Amino acid sequence: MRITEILNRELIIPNLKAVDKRGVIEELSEFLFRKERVVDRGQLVNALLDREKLGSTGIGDNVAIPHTKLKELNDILTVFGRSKEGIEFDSLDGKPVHFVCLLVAPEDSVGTHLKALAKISRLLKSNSFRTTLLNAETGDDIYQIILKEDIEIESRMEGR
Amino acid sequence: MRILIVGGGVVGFNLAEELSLEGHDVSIVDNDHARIKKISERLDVMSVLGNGCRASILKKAGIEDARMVIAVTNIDEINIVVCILANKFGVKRKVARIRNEEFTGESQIVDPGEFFIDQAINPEQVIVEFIIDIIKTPGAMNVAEFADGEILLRGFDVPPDAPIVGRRLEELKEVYEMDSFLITAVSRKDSIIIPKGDYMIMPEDNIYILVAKDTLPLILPMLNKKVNEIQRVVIYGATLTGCSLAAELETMVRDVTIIEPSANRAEAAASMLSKTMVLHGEGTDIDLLKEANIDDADFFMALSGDDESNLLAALLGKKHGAKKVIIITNEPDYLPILDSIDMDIVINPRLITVGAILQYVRKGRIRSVVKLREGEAEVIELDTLPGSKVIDRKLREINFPDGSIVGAIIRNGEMIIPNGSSSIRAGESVVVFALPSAISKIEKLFGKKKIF
Repeated sequence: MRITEILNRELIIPNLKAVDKRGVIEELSEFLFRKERVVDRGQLVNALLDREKLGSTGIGDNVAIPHTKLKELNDILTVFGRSKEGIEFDSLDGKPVHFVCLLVAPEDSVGTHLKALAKISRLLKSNSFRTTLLNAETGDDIYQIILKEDIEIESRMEGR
Repeated sequence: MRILIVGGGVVGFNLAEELSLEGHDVSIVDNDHARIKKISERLDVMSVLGNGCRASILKKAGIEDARMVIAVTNIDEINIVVCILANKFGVKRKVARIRNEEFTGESQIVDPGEFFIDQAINPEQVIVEFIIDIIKTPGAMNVAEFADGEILLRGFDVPPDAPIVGRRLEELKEVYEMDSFLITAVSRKDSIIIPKGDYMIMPEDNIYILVAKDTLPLILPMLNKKVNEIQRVVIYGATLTGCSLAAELETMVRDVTIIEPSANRAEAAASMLSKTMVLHGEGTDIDLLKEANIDDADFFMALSGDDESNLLAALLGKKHGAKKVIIITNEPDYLPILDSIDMDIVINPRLITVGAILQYVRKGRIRSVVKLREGEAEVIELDTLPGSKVIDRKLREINFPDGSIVGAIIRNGEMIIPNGSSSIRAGESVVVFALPSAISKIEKLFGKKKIF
C-alpha cells in the first residue's frame, strides 16, 4: 500500500490548536465535518473517545493514531495533524503527541484498515523523519516529506 | 522421516521423545551406558551405545537412511564432527547445538555452513533473544512469534485497574477486529481455557493474545502496560548468557548491574562491557544486593550456572524489592516448583534448545509450535494441505474440536482475525490455539498425517 492511497493533501492540518486528547479529537472531527467528509461529528467524537477509554492510541514516540469505524463511509478516511507544542494524550511512553493520524474505516473494511494502521505506524518509526516533519513549514511541505519517506521505505522493502 | 540424534542428554532425550511421538523414525547415539539404558527403557526409539564421531557407530544407528542428523552432545567439536560425517553419508539436513560464540557470533572465523551445519543452535543466543523480547513487551510473561515475525503471541497478567477488566469479549469485538488482535486463551487460577464471547475478563487472569506486529503498541494500554517501564536490571552471573544479555541491555535500559562470584569472570565482564556496573561477590550476599540497588530494580535475572544459587538469589532479590524475577534452571524437574514459589519467568536452557531445534525440524507443514504452561496448551502455525477439509468453508461450518480456536489466518503475509464467516483459502497458513485433547483432531483436519 502506498501512503497516497489513504492520505490526501486536503486533509493535513499543519498546526493543531488543541492541547489535550478530547480537544484534538474534536478539532479533527470538526475539520472532517467542514470538509464534508462526515455527516455527524458528534457520533465520530463519541466513537473515538469510546475507543480511547479502552486504552490510549498514543503509541509512543510522539505519535497517536485514534481510530474507529463509521457505517456511512465507502472508503478509509485519514486526516493528519501536527502540533509543534505537543498534546497531552496519555501515551504509552508518557510523551506529548506531536503527530496525530486519525483513521476512520468503513464498517465492512477487513484488511485495508490494518494495512493503513501498519503503514502509518511504520512511516512514523524513524526519528529523523519525525524531526523533519516537526520542523516543516507548511501543510504542503508536510505532505511532500511524507510522500518522500514513503517512497524510501517502499524501495528499501523491495530491495530486500 | 528417519532422524538420527547424537547425544542423549536432556536435549537429545526430549527431542527423541517428541519426534517419535510425531511419527518419525528416530535413532539415538550416546557413549554413556546409563543414558542409553534410560532411553531404551522409556522411549520407543532405536538406541546405540558408542562414540558418535565414529563412522561405524553412525552406520549402526542407520545414518545411511537418515534424512536428518541432530548433533546435541555437550561438546561443540563433537557436534561439528558429526555433521561433517553426516555430510559424507549424504544426509540432507544437519542441525548442531553450538555453544561457543566463536562459532556462531558476529566475530566468527568459520561459518557453521563450512562444517556442513545447516542450522547451528546456540542456546545462549536463543535465551538472550527470548529475554529481550520479554523486556520489549512490558508485562509479558510469554512470548513467541509466527508468520516470520508478523504475528506475535504474548501472555499477560491482567492488573486490576486495566481498562479491559470487566469487559466481555463480545464487547471488544469491534476493537480487536480493527486493532488486529485476538484473546485466544485465558488461564484463571490453575486451568487454561479458550474463552467464548460471553467471557468477562477479570483481574489476575493470565491472557494469551495473538496480535499483529504493527498493532502491539495499541493493545498495551488496554492492559495498563507502559513502555520504558524497565530501566534498572540486576543480573546475577557473568556467564555467556549474562554478559551478552548485559551488552544488549546497555543500549536499551538506563542501569545494568552484574553480580559475579568469580573474580576472573567479574574482571572479564568488566573489561568487555562499557556501561554495566560489575560487582564481585555472591548473589546471596544481601549487602551486595543492596549495593546493586535491588530494591529499585525492575528486573532481577538469576542467570548463573548453578541452579541452587539462582534460586536463592532470586528469592532474596524478590524479597528485597525487585519487581520481577527471571531465573534459569538447568534441571527440568525444578520447573513446577519454581512456578509455585512465584518466580515470574523461568527459563530452562535445554527445553529452549529443544524448542528451537523442533522449530527447525518442523519446517514444512507445521511451521512452529509453542507450548504454554509446560504443555497444557499448544499454539501451532500450520499450512493447509491441498484437499484439506477446512479449505474454502466458513469456519463456523467446520467441526473444530472443543478446546481449539483459529487465532489468525495468514493471508499474503498479513494477519487476518477470523470470525465465524471467514474462510481459509488454499495455500494459506493459520495459527491455531489448542488444548492437548484437541491437538490430534486439529492435525487431522489440516491434513497433518501426510507430513514430511
